[in-house]
Amino acid sequence: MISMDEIIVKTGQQGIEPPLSPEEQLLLQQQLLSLLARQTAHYTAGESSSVPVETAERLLRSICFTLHIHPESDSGEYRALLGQDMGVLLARGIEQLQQKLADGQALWTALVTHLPPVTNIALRDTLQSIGTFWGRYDLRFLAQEIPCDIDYQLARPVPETLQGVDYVNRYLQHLAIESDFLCRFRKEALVPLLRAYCPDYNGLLINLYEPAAANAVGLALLGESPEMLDIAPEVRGELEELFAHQTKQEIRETLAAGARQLADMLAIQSPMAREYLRGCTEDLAPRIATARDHGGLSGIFLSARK
Amino acid sequence: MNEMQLFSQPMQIIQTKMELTQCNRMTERYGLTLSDQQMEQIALRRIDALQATGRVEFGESVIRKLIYAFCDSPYIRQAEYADTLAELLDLFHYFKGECMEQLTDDELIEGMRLVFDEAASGSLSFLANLDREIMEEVAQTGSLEGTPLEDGEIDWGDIDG
Repeated sequence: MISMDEIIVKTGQQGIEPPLSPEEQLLLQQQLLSLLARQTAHYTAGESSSVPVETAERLLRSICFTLHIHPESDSGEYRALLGQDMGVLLARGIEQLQQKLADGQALWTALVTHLPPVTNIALRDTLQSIGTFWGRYDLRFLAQEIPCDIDYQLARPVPETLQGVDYVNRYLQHLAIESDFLCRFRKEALVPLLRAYCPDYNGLLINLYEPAAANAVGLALLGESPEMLDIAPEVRGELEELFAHQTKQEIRETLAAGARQLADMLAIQSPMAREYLRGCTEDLAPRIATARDHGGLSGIFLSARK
Repeated sequence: MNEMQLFSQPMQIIQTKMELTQCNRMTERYGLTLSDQQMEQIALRRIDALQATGRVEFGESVIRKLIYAFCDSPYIRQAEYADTLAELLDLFHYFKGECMEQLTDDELIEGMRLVFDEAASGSLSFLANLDREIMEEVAQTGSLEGTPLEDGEIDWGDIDG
């Protein structure tokens, strides 16, 4: 039986479909509501003839998430769904979620068994909470929900448009990139840097990757080894000269080049990790443009050792 | 019945009336029947009750179960049958929400019947004013024992029967 994704891809390959007509939209909505009726009966185990409207809405959102559809969309790619057995498509979608869940749990297990030499309370608590997600996630009825607490802030947040296991897995992918980066440095280098960044780096909700990435890129730009992560005042002066007369776009390009150099130095081969580093580094551009004109870059490229 | 037919009000009314017609065949042995107009009113009352309590009903309505559970109550008479049924429908959906979805349909209906017959002597006001914790306990245990209803501890004087 063909899956949802295959239907949508196949439709796309056939060319751009005109939007659904109002009658076709109504038919699709009726198919969805019929599926919702069946899901609700399963959800209540046949013991309740009615549910709160909020419950029905959650169940419908789960169906749409699992089937990758927006119930109010008139996209022509949904035409292929008309007349399909939605129950079978839902079952296929649930199988896909099961695989994603397994993939995510494997990634989480790898993360918690290979933590960076420095962590903080928020990171540990978040990983612990995500550890409960695998057992609490209801992929059958509430697949769009995220039954865990994610407090640790990433350098590059996950888009809020992602839901359910997709959100958690993307979060873990980003976290894995950050963790892998931090693992390339010794604790003796990371701790002084993080203390310079935030004295209570363990207790407060800060991201550990950002200050390490910033300093490492700064050192890479000057052809220095990033190993100790420390940027002495005179070294920072060289960076200030480098950025002194650059436009914001030029700063961004310089930072991107620095990210590439650093990735090469550290043998970071994953395209996703390299892109993550580049994006994170380029995000410094507006701060550098502002800071260089107002007291210098000591808040961006940190001196870890006094 | 195809679930899709439920999702327009006219179709919901038709479906409810069909269910009530079928129920009439069973309840007439107890001297209880609904006229066509009364069926229409109850069908509309069903929609109102669901909207008022923020609920949605898929598939068959709970009306059939309510009728089957209450039709042999000594306190239901033909003269008030339609009004009583409508009120029971309101109360069912009210308690379903108030008890935080903790009761199955069958538990709640049996609990309501128990209170209606053995504590309230057929008073719908009594049922309507019943504390939801007491209703929950009665419904879950299937008994008035251990509740304030057991020995008539609730002051009848406060209830406008």
